[in-house]
Amino acid sequence: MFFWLFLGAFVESNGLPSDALPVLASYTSSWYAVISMFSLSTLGISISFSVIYATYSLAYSFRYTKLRPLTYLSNLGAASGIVGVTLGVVMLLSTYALFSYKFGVNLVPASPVLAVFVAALTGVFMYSLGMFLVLLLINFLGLKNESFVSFIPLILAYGFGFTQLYAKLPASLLYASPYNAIQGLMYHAYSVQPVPVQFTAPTGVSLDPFLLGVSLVAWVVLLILVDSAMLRRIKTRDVEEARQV
Amino acid sequence: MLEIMGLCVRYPSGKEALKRVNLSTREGEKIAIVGPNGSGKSTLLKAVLGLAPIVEGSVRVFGQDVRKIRGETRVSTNLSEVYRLLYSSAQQLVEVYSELKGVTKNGYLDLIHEFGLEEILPKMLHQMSSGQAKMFGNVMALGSKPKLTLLDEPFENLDQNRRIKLARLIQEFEEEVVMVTHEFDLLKKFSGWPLYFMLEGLIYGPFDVSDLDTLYLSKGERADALVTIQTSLGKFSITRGTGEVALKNATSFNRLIEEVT
Repeated sequence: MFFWLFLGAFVESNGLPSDALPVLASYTSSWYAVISMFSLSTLGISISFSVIYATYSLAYSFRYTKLRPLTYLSNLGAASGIVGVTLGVVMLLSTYALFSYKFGVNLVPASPVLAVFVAALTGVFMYSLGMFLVLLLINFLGLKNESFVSFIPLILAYGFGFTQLYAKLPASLLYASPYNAIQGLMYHAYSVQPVPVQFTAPTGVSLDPFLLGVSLVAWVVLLILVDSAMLRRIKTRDVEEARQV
Repeated sequence: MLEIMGLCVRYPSGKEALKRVNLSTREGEKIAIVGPNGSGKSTLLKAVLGLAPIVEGSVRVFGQDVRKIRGETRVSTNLSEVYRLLYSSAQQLVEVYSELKGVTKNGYLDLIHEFGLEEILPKMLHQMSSGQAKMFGNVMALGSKPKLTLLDEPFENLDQNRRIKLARLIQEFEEEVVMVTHEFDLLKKFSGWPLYFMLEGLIYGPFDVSDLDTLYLSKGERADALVTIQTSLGKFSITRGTGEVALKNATSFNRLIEEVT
């Protein structure tokens, strides 16, 4: 991801007016938003996919110990949130350092606390999405599709991320998409400017950050509830089923 | 208290591992189930634990259907696959499961000291020898002092000292035990326990462990059979007093079937 930030700061920025601070802030914020979203999209996968090794333990523990599906989810979700915060801070500092150096202007993030909070929430979202995908495999599809499914969050991130960068999508779609909600909130946290529908045309229609936040929280709650229901009925699977050769 | 009625377990491959099994235990009762490898003994325990696909019948533990049971901490097992909740050392697993069971970790640690297993505490499950892993499972099963303990081949891969020590511990255990084994030599130590035979997914009994001294296995259907067993190798009869092979001379059920056929 540092490669992309470097590209954004030193290669793609050629031609930008160096004295137009709002333009530079918007440009920096959009790179921060897109690249942070990409890097966080791989976050929850390894944690959630560890469930594949624990199907017997979970089926037993929910019946014969005090462990509850929601407790299990919230503990690992919290861990993902913490990792999200760590990664978010690293991305924030890296973006600030690279872009400020390139433009010779102090492009301090306008709301670093909001940025870190969004990173934490993104970590929880990615974990619960990863958990949903892995429970689909365990309960319905079989473990042979594990490798492909592990890439789905990243594929979605690239799809939604680049689309908002270059295309003008309907606002309703952007509000409904959790990936675009993450991007929009990250943009707003860095610049505190109105969130554009299309990042390369920042003066057009804008999105309400509050509604983006509501959308992301709603997705997290929905996924956690669905994950809890699926976890309660987890099927026991042998990890050997995932072998391809 | 365990109540199994008409239990059928069928795996996705189509294999019917258990066929209309009926079994029940009274409060505080200890029973033994013996049978050759692949007879369905472990599957029976897995069905009680919610780890095997039940297609027909019911399994109730303390009056609750195992398909719906939640938070019942009075049941425990030595099956190692249920202790893989986290990638952790034995010490950490003891702490996690003692909290999940709502007991102190002293019960587990006392058993670890009693069996001289301190060396396994910093080890991950995959780093343990098969004997160490089996003893760890036994410790996790018995350490929380559950009301119902399900033991799958508890003596497998253990050295002679630990086998004897464990047998004594299980005999002295005051709560309900369902023990599955194919080892007759150790089974004889559990005199007075109800004994069930399991072959090809079907269960026969109850007898008494002390009956091993007087029971015989013969090929075919005999008029004096206490029980006739139907298998893919044909019919076998269990008789008292006379027959082809005496159960008391057998070291395991696998060898017993071989000798008769």
